[in-house]
Amino acid sequence: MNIFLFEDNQEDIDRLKTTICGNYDLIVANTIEDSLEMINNVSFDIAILDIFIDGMPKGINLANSINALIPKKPIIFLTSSMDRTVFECAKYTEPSSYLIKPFNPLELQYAIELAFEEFTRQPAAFATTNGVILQDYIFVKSDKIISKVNIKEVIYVETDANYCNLVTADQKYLIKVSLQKLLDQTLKPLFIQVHRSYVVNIDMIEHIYLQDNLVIMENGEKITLSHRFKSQILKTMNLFK
Amino acid sequence: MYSFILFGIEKQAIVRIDQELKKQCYHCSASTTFYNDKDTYHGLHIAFSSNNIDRAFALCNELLRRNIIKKPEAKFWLYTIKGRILKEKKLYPLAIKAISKAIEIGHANEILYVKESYATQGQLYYELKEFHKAVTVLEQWRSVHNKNDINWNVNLHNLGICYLHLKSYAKASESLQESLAINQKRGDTLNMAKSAMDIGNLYYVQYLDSIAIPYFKKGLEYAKKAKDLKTLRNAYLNMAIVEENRKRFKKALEYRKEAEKVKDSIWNRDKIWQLAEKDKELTVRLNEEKLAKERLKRHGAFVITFFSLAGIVLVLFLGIKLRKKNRKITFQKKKVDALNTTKDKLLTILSHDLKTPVYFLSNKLLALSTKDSKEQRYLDKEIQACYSIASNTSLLIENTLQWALNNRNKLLFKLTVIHLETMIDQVLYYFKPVIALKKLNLNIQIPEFCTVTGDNNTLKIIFRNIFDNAVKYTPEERAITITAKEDNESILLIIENPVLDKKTSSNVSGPFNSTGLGHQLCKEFAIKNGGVFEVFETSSYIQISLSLRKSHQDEYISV
Repeated sequence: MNIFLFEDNQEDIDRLKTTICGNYDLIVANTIEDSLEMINNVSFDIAILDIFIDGMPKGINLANSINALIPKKPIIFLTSSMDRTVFECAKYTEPSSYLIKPFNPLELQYAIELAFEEFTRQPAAFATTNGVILQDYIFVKSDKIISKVNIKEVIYVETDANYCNLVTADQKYLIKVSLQKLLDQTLKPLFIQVHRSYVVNIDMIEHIYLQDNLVIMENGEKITLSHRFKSQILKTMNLFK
Repeated sequence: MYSFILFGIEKQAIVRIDQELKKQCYHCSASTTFYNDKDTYHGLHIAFSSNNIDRAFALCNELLRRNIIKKPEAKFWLYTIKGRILKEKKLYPLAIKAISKAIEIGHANEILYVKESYATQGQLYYELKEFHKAVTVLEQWRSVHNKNDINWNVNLHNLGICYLHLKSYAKASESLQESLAINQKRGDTLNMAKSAMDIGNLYYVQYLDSIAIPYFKKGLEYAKKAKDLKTLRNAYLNMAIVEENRKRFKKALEYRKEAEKVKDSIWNRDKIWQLAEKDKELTVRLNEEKLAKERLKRHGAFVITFFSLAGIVLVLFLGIKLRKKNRKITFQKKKVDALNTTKDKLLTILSHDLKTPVYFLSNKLLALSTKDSKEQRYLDKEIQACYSIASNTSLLIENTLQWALNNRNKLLFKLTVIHLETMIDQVLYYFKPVIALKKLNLNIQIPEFCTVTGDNNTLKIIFRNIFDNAVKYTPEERAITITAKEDNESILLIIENPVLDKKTSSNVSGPFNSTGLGHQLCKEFAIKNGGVFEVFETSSYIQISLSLRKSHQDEYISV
């Protein structure tokens, strides 16, 4: 996941860098000019903006520019002040959360989580489901780190009761959500259910062995094809026989 | 010989003229408007009715000269007035001219009042002693007369007198007798007296004394009743002359004396009248002066009273205002003094509390930098000590800042849904080094999906103070227990930790940092978040309970 940071104080930048300790990719801009250029050219998932740069509330101006982007991005305001007047000013840019200096890694993490939850209007989503589900991406929290999972990179999804395991080429992500909900919210129409417990990425299918009731994925995984879903697959996939 | 008594301008006639004039005035009656120069006309009749005949004459002349009044009736009245005024001024020839013109217009337009003009003209000729002309005119009047005319008796009388002057006694007798008869009929004693005396004169000049004398006597009687002094005097004089001629001098003298008496009373009356008038004038003037003085006095008094009252009210008002202001200022001063005292006290305690750790810290750092033996274990220990001092002090400063912001109502406060365990983890992160150093155990029992509604910032302050206190007073290698209990509306968080024996643990001001600021903040912020903060202490442990509002997130936890 990429974080865009607007901050001019090198100490604070270093501190943030150590705090995220390589869990996220950090894109740093020191001036408002750089920032305005970067937000249009660099891909990022969340913006952390210091409100006061050179004693001016430049962070608020930048927030307005970020809000004009399509798609919108969540914003976290970074400030050392707890004075309400500052927040009153910042309020109108509808930031997703605030981070107050000094902060520890947990607080940063929480601010990021909160920002995603606020931004997607899924309150306490990380606490309850371990993830925030978007149209093309799922932000999954695992081991106190939020990972951005691109739906297209998921090979298949395995479900067990209320948990779903998103399997990519190199990792597995656990998310506390029902398979049906996941299918409805994001997976369709890229994915297809092949078994009560499996949903596979259509683009990632290598072979389908109809007689053996097996689906071989690109990474070589063998997934069972159940009778119940076989006819459906044949219908929707319109295969050559 | 005191024989001829001529009647002057009659009151009724004047009233009549006045009415007629008014009738044709635009100002006084909206019905007719046959003149253009309304103001002049109005002025004329006003002047006439207020007896200002000079002005009336001038206006009348102006109207006639400019010939702006075309209506014959109005013109008739103008000439009539002119004649009347000229007659009053005794300019008889001119008066006759005006009246003749009036008669001419009156005849041509059949104006009823014209016959009165004949009477007037007759009087004028009489005054000029042109008795023939007078008789002609009065005979003319008689030819058009009406027995009910007000002045009939008078004119008949005048006609009779004119005949008397012309020595046509028969005709004179006829007219005078008729006049007397009318007067008797009307009960007009004054004119009866005049008529009787004139008839007496008529017979007397014919030397018919036996017929004349009873008439004179009758005239005297009537005159006595009429109470007209001039007529009475004439009656007495007539009687005196008659008696004198009869050589009854004594009687004649008596009548003369009576006449003198009457004359005196006339003079007296005039004099008294004059005096009374003067007196009245004087009194009026005096009264007016007095009134003016009084008015001035009263005015002055009123003005003085008004101003003094206004002054009093102003002074009272200002006084009240001033007192109010003073009271307000006193109140504010007290408040400011109290606040200032609090501030000073706080600053003293703060600096005192800061002084010790900073002094301690600088000493330790000095020792570290000057110490020759840089033994690793010693260094580690000292650095740990420095860290704990610094972190404690930073909490104190943090608390102060929060307190100040909260007092100024400038503290960030935004209610959100907070995952309790996550927040506690975040706060405990700060205490990880000390916990590790003191080898403390943490026993956390919080349900997984436990969320509260509260403000992130203030809740963190509460937790920091609670944990700071717990970590500080828990003996080494002991456990701190954090449990959360849920019910429908709230979450009760209990933090419990053992303490060393009371004797050793209780420093000057008990748990929480010495200013008591942390404790105070926790209480205030708990209330702000809709909860309650309570501390329960025994000799062996401290229990802190914090109730918080439960957030209803069921709809989100539907996985």
